[in-house]
Amino acid sequence: MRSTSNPDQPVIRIRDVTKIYEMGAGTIQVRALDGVSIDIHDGEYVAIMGVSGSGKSTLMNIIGCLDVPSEGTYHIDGQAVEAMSNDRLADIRSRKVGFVFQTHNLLPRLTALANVELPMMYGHWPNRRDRAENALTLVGLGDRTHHRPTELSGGQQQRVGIARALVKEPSVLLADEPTGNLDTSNTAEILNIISDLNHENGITVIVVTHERDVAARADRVITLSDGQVISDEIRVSPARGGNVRGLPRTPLRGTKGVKPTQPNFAENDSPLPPKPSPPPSRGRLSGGPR
Amino acid sequence: MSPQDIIRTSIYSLTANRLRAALALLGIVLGVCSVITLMSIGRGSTDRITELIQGLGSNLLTVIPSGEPLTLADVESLRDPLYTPSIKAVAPEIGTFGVIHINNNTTQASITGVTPEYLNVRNLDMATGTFIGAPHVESRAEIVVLGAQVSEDLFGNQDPTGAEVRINGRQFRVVGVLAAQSGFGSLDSQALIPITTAYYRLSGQRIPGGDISVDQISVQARDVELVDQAIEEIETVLRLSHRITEADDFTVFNQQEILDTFDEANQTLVVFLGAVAGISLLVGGIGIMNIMLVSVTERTREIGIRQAMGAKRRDIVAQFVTEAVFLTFGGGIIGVIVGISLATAIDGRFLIGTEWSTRVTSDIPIIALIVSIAVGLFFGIYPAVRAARLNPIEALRYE
Ligand SMILES: Nc1ncnc2c1ncn2[C@@H]1O[C@H](COP(=O)(O)OP(=O)(O)OP(=O)(O)O)[C@@H](O)[C@H]1O
Ligand SMILES: [Mg+2]
Repeated sequence: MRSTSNPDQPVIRIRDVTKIYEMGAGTIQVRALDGVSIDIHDGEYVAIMGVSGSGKSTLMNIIGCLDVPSEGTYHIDGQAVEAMSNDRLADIRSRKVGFVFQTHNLLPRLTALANVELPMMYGHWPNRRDRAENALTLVGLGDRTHHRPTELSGGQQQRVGIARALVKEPSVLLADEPTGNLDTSNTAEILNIISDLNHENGITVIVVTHERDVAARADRVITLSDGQVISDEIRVSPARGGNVRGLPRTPLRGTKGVKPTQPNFAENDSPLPPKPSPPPSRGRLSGGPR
Repeated sequence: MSPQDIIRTSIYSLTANRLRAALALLGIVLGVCSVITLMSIGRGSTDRITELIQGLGSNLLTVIPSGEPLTLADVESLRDPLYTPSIKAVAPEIGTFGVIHINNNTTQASITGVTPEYLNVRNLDMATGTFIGAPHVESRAEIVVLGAQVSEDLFGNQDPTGAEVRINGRQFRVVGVLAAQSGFGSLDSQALIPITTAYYRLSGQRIPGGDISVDQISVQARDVELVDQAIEEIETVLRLSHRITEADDFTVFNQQEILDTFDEANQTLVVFLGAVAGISLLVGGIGIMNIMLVSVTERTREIGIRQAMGAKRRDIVAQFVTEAVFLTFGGGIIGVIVGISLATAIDGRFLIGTEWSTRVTSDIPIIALIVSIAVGLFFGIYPAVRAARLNPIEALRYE
């Protein structure tokens, strides 16, 4: 168990979160998020959908502790983010959440390896190089460790971004349109990696996407519109047919009525046994931030 | 972030724009270089003044007329141990200017009429031959002692003793050559003759009463402690013999005082030059700040990525301050090397009408390096804090 001692406590607990962007010296207010309440439990695979401008990225940034809500509360692993200092937020970014950006956001002059080492550098991790190499191997880039981002294809860059997010063994993997710029085969590859992380390592995954087939991988699909949650449905994952996680739930509409409880969820709290191949040599739980 | 990580990250950033880093460096190089050079010049001239004080002897007093002329009679009065017990020696002099020539060689020189006391009072050494003696003064002998430079101009490396030269058309016999002197107040381009010869044979001036007037009297006190007392004795004697009731018609200079004044002026100059050099270092620092600010703006996205990866504010501050300090420290090292080379190169050279004397002491580069690091810290902090204050999301979105 990664989070707290209480298995029923959601990893992410968002209550009435509103994000207001002020523009033109406060004359125009944009409500990017408007009273959003969501609970996400350990090990879930959630897709967030919605039209452009509906507030998906804003929500992801708040979940990833890159931004703070204007109103409402957000708890990660039971801790209130509003009360956290800048340093504490930075700590969470470097350890607890892994963020995969739509536009990679790799440092152009660093090698793939150095890019992957970056969060471990700020988190004071030991054995950075080995871990980074393992992470790159896991995403199939074991032979590209010394390439710079410009020397990699778009899909490879995205995979470096994933390696960078997963190398710190985060509780939560956030991916904001990770396949938005990729072709179908690359998309499938990336999605497989993400699914594997969820299934084998039990990492909570939240993916923003416009595409139905990307969302189809998830156990739960949350739809946003105009900054509000308009649907939140647990679905049976076709890949895993009848998984306990996929227990059908009544889709809920509106923002306030989202049912946070997930029966039986706790049973799946421990990481699933890893598949035999590819060898997941990441040494989970074998070490961590000092 | 460990120190190695900070250093590695800073080097990574600095090498991203080498030209810019080099230009920022240049400002600091120039600043440190001028600080080093000017400080060495300051040290050098202080040394030279100290040397000069020691060379002249700190118990030297100079009396010059400021109204009635001073005469050899005054000199005799000053020599009377009854009235002037604190005075060791008195050396009058008359200065004229003349053309010395031998065969086809001609040179211009200051011709100074002196007495035998001059040798000791002015701390002179003979290279060859003898100095002017009392009989020479008595007999208005037409003999001359040449300064080292004059001797070289006229005779090259040959020993001129015994040779005949013409000074303003009159024939003089060379009896000796002074040892070469260095620096200030050097007698190298002078020729010394008996004071009586100077008065009667070379200078046109005469005073009523047939006494010999002199231009200046050098007085040597018996001891440094007795200098003030010697001044009083000189004043008493001269006031009596000149029958002065109101303002003195002569002035007594204390050599030490003159040099102190000079030293003080020199120190002021050194401080002023140091300030100018300091300003150029400051300008270099502002250049660094400018470059760092540009770099923060340009690297907004990089900062956003680092923050998203868990960089704390202090990590970002550390990175940017380290970059600035690297720049100033690197500039400082180059500046020290260039500055020391420059100071060493101009030492003892005649440039822009002065002879430069510099001394590089070990504290100078240390001070310069410490100051350059301080400049980097000072001017690096603001851009670094600006970088650290960026909001991660806005930074990531920055194009
Ligand atoms: N920094 C900002 N300043 C002002 N308004 C903003 C800012 N960021 C986002 N918005 C607004 O907030 C709303 C939600 O934006 P957000 O980026 O979350 O949308 P999205 O759902 O991710 O859209 P897309 O699918 O196009 O990425 C939009 O209307 C957008 O204009
Ligand atoms: Mg978006």
